[in-house]
Amino acid sequence: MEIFSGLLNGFSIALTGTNILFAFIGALIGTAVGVLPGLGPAATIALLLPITYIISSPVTAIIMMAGIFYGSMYGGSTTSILLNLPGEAASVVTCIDGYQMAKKGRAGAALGISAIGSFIAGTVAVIGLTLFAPPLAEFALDFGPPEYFALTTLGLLLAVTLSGRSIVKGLILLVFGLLFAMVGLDPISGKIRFTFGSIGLQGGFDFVTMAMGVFGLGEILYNLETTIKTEIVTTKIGKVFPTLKDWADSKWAILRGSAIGFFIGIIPGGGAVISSLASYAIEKKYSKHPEEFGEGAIQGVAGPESANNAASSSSFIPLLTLGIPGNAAIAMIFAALMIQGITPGPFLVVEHPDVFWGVIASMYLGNGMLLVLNLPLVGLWVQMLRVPYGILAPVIVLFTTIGVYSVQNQVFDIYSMLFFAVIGYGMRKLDFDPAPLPLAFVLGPMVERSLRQSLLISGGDPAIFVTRPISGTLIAIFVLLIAGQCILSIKRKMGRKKKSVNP
Amino acid sequence: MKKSERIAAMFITAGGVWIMFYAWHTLKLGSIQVPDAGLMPFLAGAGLSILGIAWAWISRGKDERPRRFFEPGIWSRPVFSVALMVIYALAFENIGYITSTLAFMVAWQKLIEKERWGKTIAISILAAAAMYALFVYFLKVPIPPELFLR
Amino acid sequence: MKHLRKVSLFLTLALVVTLTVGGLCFGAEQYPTKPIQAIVPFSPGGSSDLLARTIEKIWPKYSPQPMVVINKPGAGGVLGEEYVVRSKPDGYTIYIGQGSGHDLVMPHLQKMPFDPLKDIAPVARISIHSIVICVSGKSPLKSMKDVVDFANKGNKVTAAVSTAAGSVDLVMRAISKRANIPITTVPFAGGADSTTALAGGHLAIGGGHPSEVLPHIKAGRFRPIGVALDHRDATLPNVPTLKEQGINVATWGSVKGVAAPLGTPPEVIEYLSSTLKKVCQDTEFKKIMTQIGQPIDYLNTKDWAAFMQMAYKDYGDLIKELGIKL
Repeated sequence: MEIFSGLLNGFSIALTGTNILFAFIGALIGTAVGVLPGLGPAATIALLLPITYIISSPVTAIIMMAGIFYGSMYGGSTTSILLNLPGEAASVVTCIDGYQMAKKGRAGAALGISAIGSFIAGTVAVIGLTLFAPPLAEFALDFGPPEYFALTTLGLLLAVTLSGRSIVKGLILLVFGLLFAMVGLDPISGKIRFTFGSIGLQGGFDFVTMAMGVFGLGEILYNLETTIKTEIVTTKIGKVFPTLKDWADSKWAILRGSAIGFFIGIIPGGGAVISSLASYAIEKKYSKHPEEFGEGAIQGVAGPESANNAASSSSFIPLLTLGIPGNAAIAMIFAALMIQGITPGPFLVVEHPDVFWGVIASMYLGNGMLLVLNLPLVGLWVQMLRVPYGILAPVIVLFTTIGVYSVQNQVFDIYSMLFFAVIGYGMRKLDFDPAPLPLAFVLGPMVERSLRQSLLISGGDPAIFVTRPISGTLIAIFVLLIAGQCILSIKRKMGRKKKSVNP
Repeated sequence: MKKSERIAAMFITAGGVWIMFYAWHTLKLGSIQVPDAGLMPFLAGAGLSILGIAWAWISRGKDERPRRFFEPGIWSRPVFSVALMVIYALAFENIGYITSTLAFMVAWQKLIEKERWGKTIAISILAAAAMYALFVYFLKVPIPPELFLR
Repeated sequence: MKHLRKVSLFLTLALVVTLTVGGLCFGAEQYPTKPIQAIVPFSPGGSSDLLARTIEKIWPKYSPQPMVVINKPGAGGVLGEEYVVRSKPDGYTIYIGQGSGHDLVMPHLQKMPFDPLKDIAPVARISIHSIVICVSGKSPLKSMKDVVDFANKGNKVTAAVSTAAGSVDLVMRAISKRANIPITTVPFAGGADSTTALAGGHLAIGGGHPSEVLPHIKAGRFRPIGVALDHRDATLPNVPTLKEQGINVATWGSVKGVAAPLGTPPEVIEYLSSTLKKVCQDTEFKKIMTQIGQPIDYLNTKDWAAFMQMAYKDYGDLIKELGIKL
């Protein structure tokens, strides 16, 4: 089995002192980057790219950068759970139940299960990568504009169903998310929309700016309404680690999330976001207590967290086997490889087997290292919640302010964040659940773009969406889900009518 | 609360109508076959208009426990903190990072949290120092230089 | 008393002299004395970014101070360039990627916050690379002639282009006009996005830079059928030009140069220009540039400025002829 021998070769490379060290450095930096707002893995890898010129072996450099990338997925969940601050789109779903768990004193359990789930998912994904990379990559290529449209629209539908209480409000936020995303340059027509002459808006809003504003600052503004000095956690902080019961509750969520994340993550583009959404929706459907979701159900954390970690590992597949980068951070790794004289693609495994297998082997290691790094930190993070809110709140403001500023060095971004903070505050006062907004913001542009591209390709014929197998299947799922929801709610209304008729 | 929701809903509908106009007039709609820049915004605006009306509809009636949107005494703190943040943003590039951060922290502690002077100064210095160490020293984020150092 | 005053006067004079001489010495210290910021107005991983990082890697061999690449993407390259336009002209902020679509094409189509030809000082040109027209490896089409025949039989020709009104889009539209066949251009979110879609066989033809298409060609997923240049591209010597195949389309391709804020001292520009020339002649630089598919084509400051003017006019004429409006 040449896969096996390749992998063994890879381990012999990954287990050298230098490579272990750099894998660890990457994991450490990645975790830190995931926790900090503003600086994302793509920007960090870009910053550190010059180091790869000095390191003589390209394998070592890639190992470090890969470590930064999937390490950031581990760190991203920390701020989502503790402070309701999603570092990037894939962490938004974690905020929903994670933060609720933190408020109930179960932050430790949330963080712990998130780390464990991420480890399992990452490892499962790397195993899948090892065994199935080439055929899956070819499958990813089959995703053209119509398929992207179907997939992202399905994602939007899932985003709305998360809003729980009111569909109308969820839809309003969805539309707002779409509109905010339309500010700036329209890639299909080249026109600039909704900027009203402002140069700062020409680039559009940045996700981090919006997330920090709506989630972080909006939450602070809302909490300031109570004059009593409280801590975030109102009840006593319980056990720091997840209990055996937590583990039993979550294990299926983790496994399902890993599978979902692995397959959807291969698709270049919105892989991680959509997989975390899909995982949350599926866990809610399969749960015996769906009403817990939104109030602190541990499966609502375990599933999506596993999904986005599996997705980040499987996003390496298109890079290593096809030479196609699936997101900004992977694009940086792609650039680094090119400058080192290595062209990623189907010949990578033949021409540079040490790079190919060395990186994959170190991903197994990296996941293990991240687990060891993150679990003990859980106790430390949880202590942060005990800081009095009077101090914590302005520090969060400082943190997010300079974090947002660090992205483009524009004070304008700080004003944008404040704009979103006011919106986030208004939303909470009017009883809106913020989650659909950032999700629509991320998915919206993809929906619009792929719709228009598909229509251009088909010459205006909408049949293109249903005649192609993959998009046809996805659209069918979409229709079934909506139909199912309608039937269910009609049944419920009929049931209520019956009850009121028969005393 | 329901009254405020209805008012907000009306704003949303109005905004939706305005967006529809902007999309149609400035961005151009194109056709269903070949959508132009304005088609999606137009649909979004239409969606907002309809959803605004729907929201007003589900918020009809009286509240069980009436709560005002701008309850006196309570909403002043969030509004005040937004004002502080705006001033902070203004001062950021004009006065310099460290100075504006210190000023912001002091202002927050004193005016919003009503802390004692001793605690205020200690926390402000610590927080500003921590941010500086993390972002400027370790991450080399370029920051606006202090006014008195220029 | 008088004695004391004399001493203090003497000391003051000595201090002033020392400071002046010292200051002169410092002032006369050779540029550069600190790292040079190279702004790339595009996202990491793109062709301008790759070029900048390759320069960044080789630069320390020829200069005492390193070059640091900073990405400032946004508004198709306008935001980053604007940042440089408004920077201090002290030679420590330069712009890599001059000559791309937003410099030569965009000004014809929309209002810009600055004039890319007048508000910035060109330093040197580094490379030109062509637009390569490709079809999917599974496609039955093998040359531009096949594409024309295909279209004339009534089939729809869809073309994947990187961005609306970008360099690839212009080439496709020019082909459409000059070969008299209808081509539907489908814009994507950048070069990588469009070449991926073409690799999946979702469109009939597509275009891109050699650095974007070479990996796919190597993997057999793409078949190159033409280059939109006056002469054959050095990285793809077997691919005929469009003109050779009877289609009169040749653009300046994607030009990449370096620029500095207006008002930068001429010695600084001369230093940058000559050091960049040395970088372009470096063997390792040549090797990496071939690897990433960007042919080196150095031009000094004066010639580069003249070239920009000419290319700008040519693109303007092309846009007018094609009737492209936003």
